[in-house]
Amino acid sequence: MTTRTIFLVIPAYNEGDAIGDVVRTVARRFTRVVVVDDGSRDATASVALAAGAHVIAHPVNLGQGAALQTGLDYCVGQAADYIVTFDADGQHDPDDVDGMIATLEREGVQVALGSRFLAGASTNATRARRLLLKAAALFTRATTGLKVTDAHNGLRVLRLEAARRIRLRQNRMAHASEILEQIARMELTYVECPVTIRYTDYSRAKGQSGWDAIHILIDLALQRLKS
Amino acid sequence: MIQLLLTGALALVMLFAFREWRVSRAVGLALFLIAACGITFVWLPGSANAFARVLGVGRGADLVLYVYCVVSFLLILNMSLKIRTQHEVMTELARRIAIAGVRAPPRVEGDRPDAVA
Repeated sequence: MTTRTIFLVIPAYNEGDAIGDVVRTVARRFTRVVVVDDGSRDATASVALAAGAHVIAHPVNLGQGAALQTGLDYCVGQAADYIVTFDADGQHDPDDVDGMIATLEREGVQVALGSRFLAGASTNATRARRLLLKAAALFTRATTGLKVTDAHNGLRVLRLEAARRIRLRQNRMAHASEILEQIARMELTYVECPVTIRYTDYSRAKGQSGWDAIHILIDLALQRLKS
Repeated sequence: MIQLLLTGALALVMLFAFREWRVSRAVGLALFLIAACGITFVWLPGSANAFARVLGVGRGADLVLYVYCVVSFLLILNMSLKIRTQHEVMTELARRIAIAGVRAPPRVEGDRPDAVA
């Protein structure tokens, strides 16, 4: 048994109804939970703090990608060994994190990416969502060359060196594709791990719609024009 | 007289295009080429008609109108890229403010590392 300093980063926007349970659940296993409150109008920050999380509060709403980068910056400053990104709506299973870290160590890679489509994974996603996610994975394969099966899974584990190098400039939902683009461009080693994604009525209401895919494509195109 | 005025205006667009090159090479290059075409059409009006016929547009005036639409789109695109740059600056500022004000939970767990199997 070895010991590592693990930080969980949870970007949250108006998640006051769910964040308390999510933090309490992950805090049973991991002592360093960081909630980045992305300018919420509800009590997300105070609920997360009371549940035992470190809370970093954006003064204005910037987007999930911006919140994730803020969390990464903070954890890098704390010299974390591993940084786990985790969604705030309760769709992830904290038990998957141990398996991802074990796989990451065994394979000696820098990033472990969660996938709901690998053998051993489990999800209750609707057929429409599965199709959309598989189309996104195909798009990512075509544009980055990464052989991923799930391009928009919020559960990831990054080693400190990888977190230091990744710099998200996509403030909104396109950050998931941007992380993969950067992994490919910087030739960071990675492994996909099967994980459980459990959608609830709450997470479905908070999640992305098909229209968000259009926004993501436009954001990615604009970013490419800038560079 | 109008030719001189139009040439002056298009020359300003070319200067603007040089400046925009730093924001987006694609937008800067497109603006430069369009302004250069515009100057050509101002001084050689027959070339606009000839060029329009080659493209299947019909009249040079129609071609100029279409090009104007494209230029307008490029300028909107350019504005959008500038807004994104401003957002990046604002994001970094907000991030630094947020990290400086991090709040720890009431019950601090100490610096105990997590066990990994």
